[in-house]
Amino acid sequence: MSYREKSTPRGAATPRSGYLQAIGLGLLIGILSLTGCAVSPQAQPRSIAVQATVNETLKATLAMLAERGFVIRHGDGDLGQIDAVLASRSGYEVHAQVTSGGERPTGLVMQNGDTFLTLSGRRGGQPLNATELDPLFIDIQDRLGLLP
Amino acid sequence: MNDRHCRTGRWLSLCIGLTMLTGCQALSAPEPTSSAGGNVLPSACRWPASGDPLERLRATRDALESQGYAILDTDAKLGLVSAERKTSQPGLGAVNSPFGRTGLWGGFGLGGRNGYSLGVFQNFGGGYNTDPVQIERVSVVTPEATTLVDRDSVVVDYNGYLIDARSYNQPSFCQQLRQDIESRLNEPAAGVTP
Repeated sequence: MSYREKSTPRGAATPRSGYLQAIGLGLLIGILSLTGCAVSPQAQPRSIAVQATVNETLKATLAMLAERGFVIRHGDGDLGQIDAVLASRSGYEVHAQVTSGGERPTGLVMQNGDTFLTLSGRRGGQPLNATELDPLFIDIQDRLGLLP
Repeated sequence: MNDRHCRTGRWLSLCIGLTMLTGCQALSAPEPTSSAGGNVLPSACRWPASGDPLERLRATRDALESQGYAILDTDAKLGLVSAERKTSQPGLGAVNSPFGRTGLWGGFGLGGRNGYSLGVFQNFGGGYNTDPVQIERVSVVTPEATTLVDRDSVVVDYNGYLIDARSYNQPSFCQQLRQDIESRLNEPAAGVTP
């Protein structure tokens, strides 16, 4: 009697927990596949203002990227744009834009010049954040002789 | 006795494991976006530029084209020549198990492929040729007075699996390119350049 009382709930629970497991697994797979398909997040551009001409800034940016091993895919001195890539386990993409005057780029912290330099990039689909972009800005400013 | 053996074995394997890990850490190059990431180019891949900028660009272009590279972009203002070359790698196609291969080569799945978007993959849609393709991307820039050569290499399967991706700045390639450019520059101008 006592055996039967014990065994009945267990016997009833096993198929139900099996269903629950299957549903849980299905949900997990569904969620995982959804995250896999999600669009890659927007690049987060960062800007600084420098006291140099557009041409000087663009050339300093080009030298900085080339010294770091980036392959320049496109560059246009008149448009003020550079696209660079670097193959590694997670590929890098960097986009640089230099403008003068015109409208202030968003996200500019301090304005101590009239030439705006904007960098954005990705590594393995993820946008490069401030800690990764700032060394590049410092390198460019160093090349322009703007750092003490 | 047996226990001691076991313990020695465990320590030994731990030591070997740690050595391997530290080895990998020491060998890895600095991240290109870190502050220590500058000056990664071998000295053969940078040289003082000489001659007229436009003549130099034409010579660079011709030198790269003669090696089978297709020119993608040039810019006279920035002194830029960008090119790429695709070569098929027949031997690498022998393994025909896509899932096994992604596991073997470090699990390049969705995440790893994100970095190489359509630009790399657009030429691998079907066909009967299933050899992996190596894509070498090269750029020669002369921002000021120094010419810098950068190259990287990506090997992808015909169906888009990333097999290998690396920076590919070989000193021998740069030396050869430099010699080629200089010999073209020093050539006596014989009428119109081809």
